[in-house]
Amino acid sequence: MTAVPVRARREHAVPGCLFVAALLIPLLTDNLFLQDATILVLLWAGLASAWNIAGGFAGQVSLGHAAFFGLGAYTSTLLKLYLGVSPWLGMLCGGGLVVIASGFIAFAATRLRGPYFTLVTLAFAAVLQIVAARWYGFTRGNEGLSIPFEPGLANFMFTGKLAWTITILCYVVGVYAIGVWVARSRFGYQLAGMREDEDASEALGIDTRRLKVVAIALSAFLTALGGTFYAQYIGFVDPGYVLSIDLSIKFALMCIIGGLATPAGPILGAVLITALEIYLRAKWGGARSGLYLIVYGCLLILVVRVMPEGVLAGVPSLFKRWRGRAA
Amino acid sequence: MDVLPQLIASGIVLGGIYALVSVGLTLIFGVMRIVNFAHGEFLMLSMYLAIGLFTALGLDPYAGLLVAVPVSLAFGALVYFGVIRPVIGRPHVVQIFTTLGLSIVLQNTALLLWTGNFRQLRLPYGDDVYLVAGAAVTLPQLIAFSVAALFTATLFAWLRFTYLGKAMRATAQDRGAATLMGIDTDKVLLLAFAVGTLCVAVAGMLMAPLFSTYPTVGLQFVLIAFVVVVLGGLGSALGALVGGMIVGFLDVMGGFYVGTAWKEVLYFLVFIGVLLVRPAGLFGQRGAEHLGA
Amino acid sequence: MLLELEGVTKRFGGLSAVADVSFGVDQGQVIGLIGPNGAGKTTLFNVVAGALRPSAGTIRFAGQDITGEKPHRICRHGLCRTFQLVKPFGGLSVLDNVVVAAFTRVRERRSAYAQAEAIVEATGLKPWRDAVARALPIGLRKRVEVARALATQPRMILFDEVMNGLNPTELHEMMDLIRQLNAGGLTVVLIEHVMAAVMTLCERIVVIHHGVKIAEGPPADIARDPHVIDAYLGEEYLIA
Repeated sequence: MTAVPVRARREHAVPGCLFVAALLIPLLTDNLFLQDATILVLLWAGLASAWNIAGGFAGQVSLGHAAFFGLGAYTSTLLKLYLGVSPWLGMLCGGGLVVIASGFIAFAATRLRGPYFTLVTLAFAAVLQIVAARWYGFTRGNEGLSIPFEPGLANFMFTGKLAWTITILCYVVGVYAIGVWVARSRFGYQLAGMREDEDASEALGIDTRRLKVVAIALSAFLTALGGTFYAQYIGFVDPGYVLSIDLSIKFALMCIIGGLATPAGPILGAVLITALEIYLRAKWGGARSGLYLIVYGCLLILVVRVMPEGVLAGVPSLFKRWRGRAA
Repeated sequence: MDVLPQLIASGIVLGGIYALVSVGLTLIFGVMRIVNFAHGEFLMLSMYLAIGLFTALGLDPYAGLLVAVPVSLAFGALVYFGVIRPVIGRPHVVQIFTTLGLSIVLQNTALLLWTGNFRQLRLPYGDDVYLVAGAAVTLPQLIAFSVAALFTATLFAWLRFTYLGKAMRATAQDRGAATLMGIDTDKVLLLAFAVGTLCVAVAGMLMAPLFSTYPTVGLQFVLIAFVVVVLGGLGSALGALVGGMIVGFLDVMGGFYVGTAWKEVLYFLVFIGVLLVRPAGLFGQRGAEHLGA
Repeated sequence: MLLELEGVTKRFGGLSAVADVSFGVDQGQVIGLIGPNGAGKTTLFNVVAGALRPSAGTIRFAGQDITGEKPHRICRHGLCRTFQLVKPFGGLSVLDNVVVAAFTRVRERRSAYAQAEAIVEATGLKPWRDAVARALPIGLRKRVEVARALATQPRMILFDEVMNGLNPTELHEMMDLIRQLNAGGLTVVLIEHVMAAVMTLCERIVVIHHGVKIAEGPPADIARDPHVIDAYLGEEYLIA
């Protein structure tokens, strides 16, 4: 859907602004809400970028990425609570576990296309959610797991928002950089060929199976890292949230709105969606619950139809079309 | 064991209902290649319709079917023109999110209008029990199954023997060729969507006396519908019937022997298993999963 | 023998789309594969190129047994194919289409681009270098298909009805291009219905009918072969 290569300099503008703004906010303001929102926007931006590698670049639309997120969150949390393992190490373990689990999804991707693949990813995450909810002895089921607040770098737990912001900023910048690398690399070009036409790319020497496995594993790994961050930041992990379909949809949604298969798209999408959610919830959420979601849903239907390539590419092209008509 | 006939009867009744819920989904996918994630919400709306007709007009859901048929066809057509048609032929991502968006809108509209309270349609004769082959079946269950069976049979006959039905099957198999044969595929797609909506609406009316109604009730059944449809083969009406029966039995047996929560895991495992081993399902088009669309 | 087919058979259920087909292609030749519609030519290509597994028979390329190998591996061996219904990378520019293919042989971005630019120039696509592939007319899309195949540095290309739907000018240009490529050392196998092209370009023609090879030989012999004429009765073809 989008052309390769990335128009490097201009595209970095959007994420660049976000990163700088995000760093400045905890330094310049005392508004806790704003600081918290910033951290969450950054987290979503990172997670959406991670999803984009499999869903956007590789064209494997997964609606089950919460499985990886949740596995990451649970792994580091369980290792910490049962074995006292440092969450940093737990994070890597979660990542490793998730890479193995992603093999299953990658297998499905090599056998199924389009909606069939998406359905399997949905089922995969759903199974994990049910298992986590029912395995009370291990995961405390729906009650969830709480992580005791013991601040310290080794514990991956901080008192000030600034430290959290810096940590999550490292994550997002890292994932974004990986996205940029993917877009410009041989890997990325082959992915582009694969998502445009899988059969043609096979005939041109591209090993689509290997591409899918790598893209999905990478995407899953990065998602799991975000899961650990979330667990540490919020201090609470429960299957109803970290393994929920709502979360899976959110990752995909941000990329679709922002722009698939471009590194800056998910970043923009995360900002827009989070801002929209906050705005809508403030305006309509309280008094009439659900109204803001109705608006949300309608916007989704409209944007996806009018700007399927996402806002990043869509707005300039709509603008160009408009000007063309006026002239 | 005395409980077996009961389980079987429940399985049959449930199977018939699941088949009806799923046949609409499979019709829509088979003809339009669109996975309607809002299918459950259509069901939910029709259940609320049944409750509304009963409380406002004292109409039985069975009499209410007379209302539900035109209303659902009109609703289906409306949704088709407003939401579905613009995204036909577009990339899967677009279609998935369009129907997902619709699902969100419908769920929350219901929540807004009717609150999240669980409602139950209680028919005066709702608890009348009949003994059928050693199993106790309530009247609403009996009616639900009979109407579902009759409706599904009529649908099959319609698909098989009428021009429109054949046109639909032709379009499902090869849209390009169908156009070349002089079939107005645009109208067929509209028809498929409307009829698919009709099927699930009828199911909803029949289910209202049997299940609780609440804004997210659709989620529970759409999952089952997906399992049925994948098992039976996306696009195959016969598959929806057979799949529905199988899942109905799985549901009842699973619920009895394994418990409700693990029953869901069972569905999902069957689902994943079928998709990986034989994605075309029992009666679907072989290789369809490679075509994607 | 660069390409050797021995007893290649492909069955779908009870139907033999391709039955016991054998022939060989030497380095540097231009071979035509003709036959009435539905004869099994594209199926044969699909089997050779790895898109389908043969039910029986062997395929050897450059001495190596490639029977049943996956398409991308066969491409890496040096055997590439184009598609009857062109499959461009629609959302990418013409240049990027070729770059993607170039990456099969080259790992570095700069060399991939350099190679792609050269091929775009050589196939006369330079004026459309930055055009989005899906916006191009069929003639140009066919050329992009050829350019892409070339970027994989093949020793042999299987062209599946590459002349289909081209106007006379485009036809001549495509024929010239193939002649040029062959002169440069590329071995070519053409599935074609455009008889003028086949008769002019090919030094040898293989005729398939109902999945079976019914004739093989130089164009002049094929034009006179009673089996071939028999097979084509009922279809209108201008032979010569």
